[in-house]
Amino acid sequence: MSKDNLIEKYLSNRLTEAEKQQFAHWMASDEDFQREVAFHENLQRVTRAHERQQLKQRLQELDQQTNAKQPPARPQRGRWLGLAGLLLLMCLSVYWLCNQPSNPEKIYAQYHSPFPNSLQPVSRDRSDGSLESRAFLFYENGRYEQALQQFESIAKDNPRPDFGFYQGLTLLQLERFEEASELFEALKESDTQYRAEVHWYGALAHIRLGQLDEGRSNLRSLQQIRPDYKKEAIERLLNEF
Amino acid sequence: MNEDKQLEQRLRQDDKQALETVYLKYKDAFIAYVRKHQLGTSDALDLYQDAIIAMHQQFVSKQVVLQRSNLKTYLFGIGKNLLLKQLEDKKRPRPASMPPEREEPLPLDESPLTEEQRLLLKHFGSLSKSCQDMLKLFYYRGLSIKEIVALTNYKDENTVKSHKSRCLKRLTEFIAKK
Repeated sequence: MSKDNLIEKYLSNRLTEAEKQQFAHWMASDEDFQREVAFHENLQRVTRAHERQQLKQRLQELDQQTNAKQPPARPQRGRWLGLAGLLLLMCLSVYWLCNQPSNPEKIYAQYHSPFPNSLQPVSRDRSDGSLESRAFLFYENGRYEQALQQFESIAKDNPRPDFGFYQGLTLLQLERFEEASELFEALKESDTQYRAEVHWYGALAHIRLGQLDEGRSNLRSLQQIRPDYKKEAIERLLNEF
Repeated sequence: MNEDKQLEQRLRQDDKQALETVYLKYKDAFIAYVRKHQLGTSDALDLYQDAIIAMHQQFVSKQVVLQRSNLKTYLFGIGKNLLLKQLEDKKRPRPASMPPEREEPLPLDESPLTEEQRLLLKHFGSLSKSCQDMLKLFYYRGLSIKEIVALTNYKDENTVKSHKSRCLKRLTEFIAKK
């Protein structure tokens, strides 16, 4: 068994007794192997820490959303809740300051999340076989290459801005940012129910390409057309670059 | 399968929606519980988030299957351990009503990151989302290449292997450039 395979099995606790002996032997006698194992162990620890940070952020956002939906508290309690909110906001601000991204790729990774299919409900058992259904079936299953082919055919046969938006999202998933940003630009003034989203994902595509001015301009237009859409995220993002 | 068991199953599959459901389900009860021990609301909320995350990571990385506890008692057990540790750090006495929790494991990650790991974390954050996702499937969730193929839309094992090596290469390049 190769050293790489042995490390892979070690990391997922799947070594057999014989493999454990082989592993111990190399750990005792091979410095390169030791370094390699240390690197992978560190990476295991680091992926946990990274995931932890992301989960914490997600839960804080969830709290903000649910707090916003709740009716105002009684005056006496309100003061304390207000203070707690302020503290939470301060913690969030410190968190954001400490984690300010330093490059477009990082900013993109931090703000981009896949957009769900809300256009064409897909039933796996009763697909009608149309291009649209196939496109979304692939999209929902994360088979973006195939989804893109279907969206391209839709664009050729019967172009509609809403489907164009999902074609752009698919390009983002495939990390074809140049094409995605061009498509979102073209859709900005079209008649689509996803006008705000087109601006948001368009901005992210520009940012990912390092076209920060274009990204900023998209976000500012978005603030004009839908002031409530991702309000805080946009403000934070605008402060990041 | 009852609702709790279904949630547990989804947590093992790293389902974030399930995590949010559990989070909202027990939030008020947990905060009321720890506030009895002189912890302010924002500290209690912070502690609750830490407990939820620790619980989730146990399910994802260790594939824990609950035998004697249910989700609530497991979560509260972890939370209680975290609270006791916090009181100990602040040199405050352990509440008499709260005996040490022996049945539930302490969460992962209790030790702070080393300098080397902090640097690695910084560079990991600079990787593309698809690289972060790939490396997390392997290192965080502990899935084998074969399992990753089954779970994702990568064509085959070779595609997964080559994407993973490209991501590792990028990471080592970032480190070399520091």
